[in-house]
Amino acid sequence: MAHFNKYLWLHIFIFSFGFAVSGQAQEFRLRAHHIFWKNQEAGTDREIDFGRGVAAKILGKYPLLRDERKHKYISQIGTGITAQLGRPELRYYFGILETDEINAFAVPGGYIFVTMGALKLMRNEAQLAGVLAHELAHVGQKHIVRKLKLQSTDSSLTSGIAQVLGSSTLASKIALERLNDLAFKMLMEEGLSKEDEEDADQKALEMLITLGYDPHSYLNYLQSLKPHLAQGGAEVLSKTHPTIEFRYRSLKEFISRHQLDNIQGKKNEKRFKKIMAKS
Amino acid sequence: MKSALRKLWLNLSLLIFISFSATQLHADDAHYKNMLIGERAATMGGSYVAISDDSTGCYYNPAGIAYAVGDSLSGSGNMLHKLKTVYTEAIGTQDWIRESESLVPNYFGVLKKYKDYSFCFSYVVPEAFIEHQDLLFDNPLSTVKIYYQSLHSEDITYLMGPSVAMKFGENLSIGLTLYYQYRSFMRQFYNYLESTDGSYEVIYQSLKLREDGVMPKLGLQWSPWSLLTVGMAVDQAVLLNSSFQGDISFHNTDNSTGTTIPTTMMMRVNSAEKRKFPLHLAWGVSYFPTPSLLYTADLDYYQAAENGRADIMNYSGGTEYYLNPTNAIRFGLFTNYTNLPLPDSSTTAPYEYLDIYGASFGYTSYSSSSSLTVGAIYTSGSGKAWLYSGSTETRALTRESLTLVFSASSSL
Repeated sequence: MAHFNKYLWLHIFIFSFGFAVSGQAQEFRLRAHHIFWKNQEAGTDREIDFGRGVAAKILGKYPLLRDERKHKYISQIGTGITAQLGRPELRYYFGILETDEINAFAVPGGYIFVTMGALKLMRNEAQLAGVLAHELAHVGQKHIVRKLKLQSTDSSLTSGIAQVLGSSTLASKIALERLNDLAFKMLMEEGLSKEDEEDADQKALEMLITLGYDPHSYLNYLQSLKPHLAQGGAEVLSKTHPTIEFRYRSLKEFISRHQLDNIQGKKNEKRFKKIMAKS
Repeated sequence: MKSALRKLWLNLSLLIFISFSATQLHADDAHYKNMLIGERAATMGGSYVAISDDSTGCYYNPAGIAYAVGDSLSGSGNMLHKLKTVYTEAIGTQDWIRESESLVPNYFGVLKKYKDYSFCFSYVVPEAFIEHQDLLFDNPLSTVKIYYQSLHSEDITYLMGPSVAMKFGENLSIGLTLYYQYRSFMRQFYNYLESTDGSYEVIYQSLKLREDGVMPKLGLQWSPWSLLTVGMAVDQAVLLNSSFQGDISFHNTDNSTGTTIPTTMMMRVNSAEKRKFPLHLAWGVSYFPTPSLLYTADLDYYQAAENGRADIMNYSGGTEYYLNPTNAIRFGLFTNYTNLPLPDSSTTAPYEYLDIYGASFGYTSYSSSSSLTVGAIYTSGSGKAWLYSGSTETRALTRESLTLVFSASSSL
């Protein structure tokens, strides 16, 4: 018992000492993985905010098509692909831009647009799925965000996009506006790197095969772009993407390397045409 | 011949520890830290009183769950718990080896936070000894032709119950766990000895015990200054019910007079004697220098509640290091001292004096909402065993164990 009393007093002493000194908040308890995933979540939120601004700029240039049926259709196809290719932390939005310009856009944060001009050129659902998968791959791989980080020379930008986006100061708001401009310029004029486009094409092809679509339809769509690019019907696309020859050749090599030549799949041509015919 | 056989019989049959006292039945009630619990805790030597900020905290220090990061569900199992005890030259010139092997899901906990309160329900298996072995000794002594023993024993203790913790300001929390304690023990032992003159002896023993009780655990945790936490927990198990039944049947023949004389005996004993558990006080201190590194150390003091037991202090310490934000490794060291008093010249069997030391290692991989831990715990100890009833003769005793740990937890 004497033994116990000795320890009991030790208890009381330590506790009294503990109460007597004031402590700090318990943030230090957070372990590396807590902080890492917390930052990841915060980074995603900032990416969505950033993407919203860029999407607004695109919608300022091209109006959104007011066709519920078509919109619902591409959303369904796109959502099906995101189940495989999408980032689970993002909620994706799909829209059709009312322009005859042939193009599609992937905006950080999960905003995907395809133009009416591109839809008119497509012959089946497999081609639509291929284009959407290509754009989703850009979002999934954060191609735009990464390129923006590399391009930034302003000290406020090189310190990290996340920091700029996470702040509410006037300076950071200006910086954010500049980032939105840079991203918009990238989508409309500069484009992504050849490697990123090649990567997105290959991921699109893989996705078509995974979902049971005909992968060759995507190549056919690329081929069908050729005359339009020559005639100037896809000005932005020609500025922002590698040549069709390069993309076609690259995909052909990919197919050959992975022995995918004989893979066939669904095209859903009838359904696609039925929905696209109605307005 | 008769005296030689009798001596051998003493040397062998009394290994069996035929006791009808429930207090002496536990597979290893001389040690308190036979199984480490949890994901991070187990791989840091069980040193967790000043951390305990996940559902495992319900067992180590319920106050710590007040600092848990979100709701969680976690479980762990010993993929393999292997224990080997060797009594040197216990049977003639041959060693007596006892082996225990178990696959036990030894922890499950669900934790839910609400404002400044944290609630938890946990299930713990702090003790599990499972022995199934058949040993055959040919000619262990010149007068003995065969000695055979078959031992099948299971001794498992379960704890389950709710916990609640609340914060007082940012740096102080208090928590309470109320465990229902249940222990199930059963042992069947068959023993056969055949001497060279044709006489033989057979013993069959069947023991069953069930215990029910409660174990309240009160904990406090605070941070006197940044990067440091201190914790304290106190618990005391109390049995409400104990039910023991022991059956033994015995048969032998004696050929020493030239005529075979058989002897047969059967006995049953029932007991409701309740074990008394020690008061357990635990102190811990943890230092968090960076988000990738922590050090922790615990003291566990047990105040003996029964005659023939000693107060003891166990020590444990561990460290956790993140190789990168999603991969962490841990190390731990701990002691598991015997609670028996130091033996002296009057010490007689059954008595085992054995201090155990352990080391643990673990690796955890984290995703955004879950974690997976694998690890290993190794213990080793050496001491002396008094095996032969009424004798002060001792044998060297060594014990080693290896536990492979597998744990997983997920955010809710």
